[in-house]
Amino acid sequence: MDYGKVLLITIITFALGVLVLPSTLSIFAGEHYWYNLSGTENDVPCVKCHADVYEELQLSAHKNLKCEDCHRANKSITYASVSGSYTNVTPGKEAHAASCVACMMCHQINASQESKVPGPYAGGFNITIFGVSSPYNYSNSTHTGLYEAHNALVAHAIAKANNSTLLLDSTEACLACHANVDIRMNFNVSTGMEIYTSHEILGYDTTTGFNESQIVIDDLRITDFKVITEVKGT
Amino acid sequence: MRSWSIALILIVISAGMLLSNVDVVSIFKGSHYVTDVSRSDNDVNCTACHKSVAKEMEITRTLGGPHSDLSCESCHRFNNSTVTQFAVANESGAFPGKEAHAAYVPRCLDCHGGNGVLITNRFGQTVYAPPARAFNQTPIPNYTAHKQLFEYCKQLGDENLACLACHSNYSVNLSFKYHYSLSYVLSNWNFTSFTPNGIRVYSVNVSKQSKFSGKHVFLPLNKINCSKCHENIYLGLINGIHAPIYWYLSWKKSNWTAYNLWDDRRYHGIGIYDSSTGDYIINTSWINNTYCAQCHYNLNVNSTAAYNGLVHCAEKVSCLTCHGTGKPYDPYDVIGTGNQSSNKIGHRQLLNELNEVNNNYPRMYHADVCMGCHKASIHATVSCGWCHNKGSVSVDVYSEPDGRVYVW
Repeated sequence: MDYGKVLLITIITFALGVLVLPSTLSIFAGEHYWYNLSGTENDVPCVKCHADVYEELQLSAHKNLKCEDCHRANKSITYASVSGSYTNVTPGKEAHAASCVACMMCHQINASQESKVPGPYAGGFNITIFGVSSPYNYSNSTHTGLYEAHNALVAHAIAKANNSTLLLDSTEACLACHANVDIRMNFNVSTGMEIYTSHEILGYDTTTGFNESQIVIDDLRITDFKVITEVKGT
Repeated sequence: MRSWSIALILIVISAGMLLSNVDVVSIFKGSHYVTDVSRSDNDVNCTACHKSVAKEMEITRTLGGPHSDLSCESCHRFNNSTVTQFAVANESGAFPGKEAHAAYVPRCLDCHGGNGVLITNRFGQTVYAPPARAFNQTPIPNYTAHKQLFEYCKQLGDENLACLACHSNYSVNLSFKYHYSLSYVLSNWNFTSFTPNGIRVYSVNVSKQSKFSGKHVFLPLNKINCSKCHENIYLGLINGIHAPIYWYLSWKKSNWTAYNLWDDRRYHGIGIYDSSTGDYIINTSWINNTYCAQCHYNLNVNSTAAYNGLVHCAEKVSCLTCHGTGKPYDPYDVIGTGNQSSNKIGHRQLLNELNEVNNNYPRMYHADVCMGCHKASIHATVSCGWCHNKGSVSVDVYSEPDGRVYVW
């Protein structure tokens, strides 16, 4: 390619650039195009930044929910808002635009901390048996959750969530089953047991009609642990 | 030219990345893709996280084991008195779980207790889970074999371990501790001395292979081998103690009407004559679960728990179970009158004394007493008359798997 052609391409590119560029180069295009927040609902388009979340929601059982139904719905939080006009502004207190949300805020008993769309109660868990507390009500006298197989997962998710970067409360545990998330789990399982026995003499048993003796278990230990890795998702 | 091509390729790749990329990468991909649980069935896929359990259930199906026809929900979302309501969402609405949300760890006896239950299998059919007698009783009667194992596991908080020990691929290491030998002296068919000696420790290692814990590989009943855990008993049988009385004699007691496995009315097994030792040895191929069941799950003797449908696998027995007074194999007159009139009732008298309420000759020694004489009869070092005429002999009998007996 000769220099003439290179020069021609450079000129064309420059010309196009001149056409599409504004008269003055903005440092940050659109930065003076302010959204009008005086509507009755949230006027900031969350989806602009969270398009991936929006796309997931369209495939989700929560597809009829709006962002603010969960993320601006905590009764204990005052979010920044404009009501009707800019003369009626409520500055955010605990949160400005949105708050992270725990599943149980909507799905606890009565969902009393959810201000917009309370979800059905996810009853049948018990975290107190693991000595864990939560701001949300997991159980009551009817919905004891004492036999739930995943109580440990839920309780430990809560315990780990405190003072960490994990999602709030038991949210990871909920998502593990109810969302299309990838999970890698290491199950440390026993594959056997050791039993130590001896005999004891009981005396005459009128039921069996014998001077009874029996094998007694002196000790029983769960043994032969091995780690099995399970992977959910891709 | 080459540099232009590379530049063009890079531009195309960059453009493609820009087009496919999202503005902000989600912190937890998929966290907003919530599963729809509104259908009537369980919509959460258990095996997404529990693939290893699913693989074990596949092995169960390959083996044709029990529970082959069951789904996760059949057991783990089984409504009963323990869990009256799991969380359910369907066309009628959403209903919170009560005692459990998604699943619970069932007790085997939730289905196999009481009189059994009807459950729904993975084909939608209603099937019957029979009771595991007599573990379905409170208290569990003393005749029930494995009672102590069950109760100990229950005390630990996981009674299922006892069930899994036999019925699954869960490995078991056992250490049995019992008397090393028993010495007794008879005089005219009465005990004048009775002394258990020492301690024998016998260890058994039943290692099983499994994809996961082995708890979901449910073995077909014909794959459960009593001898695996009770190896000392198995070897005791081979060594001529525990139960097999195999000295061949053609004479049979005429009023012993029931027949054993080998169509023989007198012996627990017909020995094979070994010309090199002059001994009779048992055919080891006969020692299998069917052999064990002849005594421990006896459907022919009407006083047994098995006959009365009170046990599901095995019961504790004594020689007296079949050979006690009035039982089908009552040994009255078994050796004839001999030279003393007491011989006619000698065996019966001895067995009755063995089980006398006020005598401390517990069940665990009964077989040793019987085997002491009957094993000794093969290599008697005293004259026949000491037993057959007088019912008087001194015996040292060594517990399983040893099998040695000394008489004088």
